[in-house]
Amino acid sequence: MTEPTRDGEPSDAALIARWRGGDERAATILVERHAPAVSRFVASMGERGEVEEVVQDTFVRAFGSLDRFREASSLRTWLFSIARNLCRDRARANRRAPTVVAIDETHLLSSSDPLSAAVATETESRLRAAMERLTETQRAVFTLRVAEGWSYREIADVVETTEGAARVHYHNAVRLVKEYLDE
Amino acid sequence: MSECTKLEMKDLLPDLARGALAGPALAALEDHLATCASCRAELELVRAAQTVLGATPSVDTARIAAAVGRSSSIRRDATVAVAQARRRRAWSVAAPSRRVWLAAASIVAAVGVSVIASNTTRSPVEPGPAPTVAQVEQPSTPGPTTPEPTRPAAPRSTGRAELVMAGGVSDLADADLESLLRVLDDVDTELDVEPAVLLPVLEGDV
Repeated sequence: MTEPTRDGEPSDAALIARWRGGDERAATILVERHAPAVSRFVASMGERGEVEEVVQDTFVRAFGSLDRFREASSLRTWLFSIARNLCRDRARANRRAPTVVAIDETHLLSSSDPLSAAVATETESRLRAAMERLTETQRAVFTLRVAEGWSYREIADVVETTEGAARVHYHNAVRLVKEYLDE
Repeated sequence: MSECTKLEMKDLLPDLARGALAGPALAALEDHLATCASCRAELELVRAAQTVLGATPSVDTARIAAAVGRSSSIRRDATVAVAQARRRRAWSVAAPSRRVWLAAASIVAAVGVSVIASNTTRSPVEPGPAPTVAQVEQPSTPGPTTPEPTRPAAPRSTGRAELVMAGGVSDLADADLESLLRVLDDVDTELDVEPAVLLPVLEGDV
């Protein structure tokens, strides 16, 4: 488990200790450090329009229960676990009250070549559609491995499984995405 | 194109796509990619996925940090309130023992008075009637009072029976009893100030 390494910046553990001591600025630094990755993860889990709300809930919950945070694990893993649980809760709620969620294309590839851009847009749209076919666990594993570059050990902590099972989930996810794209 | 079965090579593709691979692992993967079309195709897939998933949605970190600060402040206030409530609860838990002491003291007092009264009535050398406590406490009870001289004809009751007759706590005067009840009511009132609404905050249901 590795903490984010930043030259000259305090570790997560040091910032948590400062926050527990009443330093509100420490919380701000931690939010700024981890919010981007958490927001990417939340977006990839299907939360398109309310990413910030979920990310905020993630941090509020995390800081609200820091007493239960085990120093042995990384804050990053813990934050992603909370974010994943929030996404699952919201997905369940949405299943009860289904709504049409449009695919967010606000950050698709830009290209000076219109044809290349169109092909890229098409590829990305199909890729998103393929990912939406994955199970929640497969999507989480795929995202954390591909987009965040996490180890299977870290991923296993987030999705509450074993390292070996996380690896199997990843390869199954890749296979399913390829099958969809080949259709 | 047949599917590559070398999972140990496939495992490294995300790292290669991120530029996070070096040394012998990088060399081994590059050698493999030179001969494996399946893994080259998968590498392209991984790169495309990184493009799609790597885009960071815009979030207002300052707003999130402010929300964390507000929540923390509320939590601290709630912690103080709950600590105060726990102190009150501790006092309330101790209160029953105070009630027990009060009741015990009342009973002891009643027993003492009853024993004295009993001894007084049993004593053959002391002349004259020896009214029981019940008789003393209920002077206004209508109806004829059993004359003392008729009692020796009946079997003597035990001291325990005398206590029951004496009525225990009921021997207290009405004013004293009301005072005792007021104290007990005050004790119960202390439990009503529990800030239950704050408890969920500490239970992590924020």
